[in-house]
Amino acid sequence: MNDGLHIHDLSLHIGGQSILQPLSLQLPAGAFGVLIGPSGSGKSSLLRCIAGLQTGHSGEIWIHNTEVSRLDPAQRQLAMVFQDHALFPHLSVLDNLSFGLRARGCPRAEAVRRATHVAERLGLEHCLRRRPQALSGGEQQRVALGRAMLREAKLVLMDEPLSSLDAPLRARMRREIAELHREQRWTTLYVTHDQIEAMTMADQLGLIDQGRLLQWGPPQELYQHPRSLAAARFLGQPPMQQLALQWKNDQAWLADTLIPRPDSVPAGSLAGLRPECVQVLATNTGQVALPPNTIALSATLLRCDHLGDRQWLAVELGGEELMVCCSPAETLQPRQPVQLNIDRANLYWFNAQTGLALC
Amino acid sequence: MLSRGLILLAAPVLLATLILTGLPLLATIGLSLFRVDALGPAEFVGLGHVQQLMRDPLFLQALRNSALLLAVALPLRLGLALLLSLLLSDSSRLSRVGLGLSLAPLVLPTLVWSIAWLWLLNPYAGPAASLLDAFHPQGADWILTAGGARAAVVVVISLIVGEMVLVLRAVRRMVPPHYYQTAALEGASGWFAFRHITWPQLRPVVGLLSLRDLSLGLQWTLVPALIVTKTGPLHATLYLPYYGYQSAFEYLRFGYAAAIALPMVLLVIAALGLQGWMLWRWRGA
Repeated sequence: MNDGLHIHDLSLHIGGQSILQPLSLQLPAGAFGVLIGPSGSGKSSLLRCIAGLQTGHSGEIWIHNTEVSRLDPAQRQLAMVFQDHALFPHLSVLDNLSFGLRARGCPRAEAVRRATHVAERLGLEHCLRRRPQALSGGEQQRVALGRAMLREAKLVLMDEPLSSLDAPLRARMRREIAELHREQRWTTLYVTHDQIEAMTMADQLGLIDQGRLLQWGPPQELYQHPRSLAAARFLGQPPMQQLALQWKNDQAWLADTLIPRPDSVPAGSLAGLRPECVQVLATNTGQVALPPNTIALSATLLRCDHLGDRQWLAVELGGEELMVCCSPAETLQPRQPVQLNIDRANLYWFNAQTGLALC
Repeated sequence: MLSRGLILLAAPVLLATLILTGLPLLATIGLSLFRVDALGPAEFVGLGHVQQLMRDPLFLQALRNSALLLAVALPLRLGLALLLSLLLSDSSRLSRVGLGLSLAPLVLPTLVWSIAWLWLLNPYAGPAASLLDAFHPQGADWILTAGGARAAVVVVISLIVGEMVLVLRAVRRMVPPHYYQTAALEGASGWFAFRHITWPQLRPVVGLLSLRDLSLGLQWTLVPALIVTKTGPLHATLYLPYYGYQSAFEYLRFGYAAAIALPMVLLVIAALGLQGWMLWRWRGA
């Protein structure tokens, strides 16, 4: 078995309902794994299974070469950081930090010394005597991280730890967590529904939806080579768009334009397109010379959303609405005809029945 | 600050408390200063009744019995309620049935409850007697001793803890499960988790419930003492409420009965004062 976290065929049923379908993943020692998925997708349940807080699952969970699925939570030697930090409101910051050490029988003086040391590392030395309620959101988060440091865990699980913080603080805490992860050489599994957190922090990223792990791998690979249409729709803002293709005599047509398909793609397949991989031109620019392998499509602009650094455009193409992105410099008006230039290499093809990627 | 709306909402209860509890409380103190037999005119005796009580061996016995009962029954009630509230704290069917059972003695009239115990503890034919006899020949005779009678009253009033279980269970269930999960992950034992997580949350409520018990505890002895043990062998279960009841309604010595109730009045006032102090400290925290 490998070092780090290794999950083999883990599934979970509660009251006859399937919460997690059999899934397997490997996270090397010291790596930062992120699970992303919508609420209720089962990502927190997966963390709770790994932590031993959820009973009734089947399959194997290996943490650093030990099969832990029959062990008590304490024996798994892992730390967990909860969404609401789970700090004890009746205990001071110092007592919150030293709680675990005291619980494991460490003498008080020693526990206080080590907790104080960790508090200094995290910049919490000024609030050791305060109660958690008197701390800011970021400080509370640091206390929770400090508790994880004192656990000296092999594996650290984090369940949406930043979701209760505001945006600027979130960006700062993201850096602090990444720094701690490197410094402590933690193997970390981090659950979030925030795409920026997922893409920026992950060494390995997992997409979870309705209890199924759609894909597991490095974030760039997931973005560039999604295994299925469902996985492709996960990442990207706006997500990957499906083209409204019309198949006639094994040829794909979109708004009276022939869309050439690679030889490996059978007729009837689905095509997807990342909104940012489209060049949008006002039709009257008079540009005629198309780069090779480019498909030009005529569409009508429906709406424009200015985001400052770019625009989101809703266009009507082949009778369906399609979202594309373009530079903020373009001045476009609703109901204006536009030309969409698409590089053939930027089209993703999926099997119409299974939704799996074809090339 | 209490808003006017809150005071208006509480007004009916405050008014009822004042009329039904406050007035009789003051009347008891006043009545104790007079000799009243409801047949002739009242006669002012001042502290004469109090002096008389100090020489009354039955009163002193009742006072000792009452103190002993409170010292034994109150911790027992609290301990039992705490234990049940922790055992029944999840929302399983078993726990809900258990909670219902623990509430049953509360909804039963004390009279019915006491008569049931009269049968259970009957030294000649009751199930408790058969059980004791099975362990030891003449084991059932123990019920007839002073200790046995006292134990019977303690048992009868210690099992009416349903509402305490209900309150403590509610407080226990308000503790977020994350706390216990964190403790489990940190390797804390069940006792460590109770000591450092559960108990600090329960402590203020346990404090209030103890004070409530302290002020009401003696009153619960009236019916069991009347029905189950009478005053017991050698006046072992003669408590202040029953002695007061006897003095007033059997011997028509209403003023003397009021004087017998004075220790209980003092106890209630002390408990109220402590409770007020505790609530004041809470608001400060």
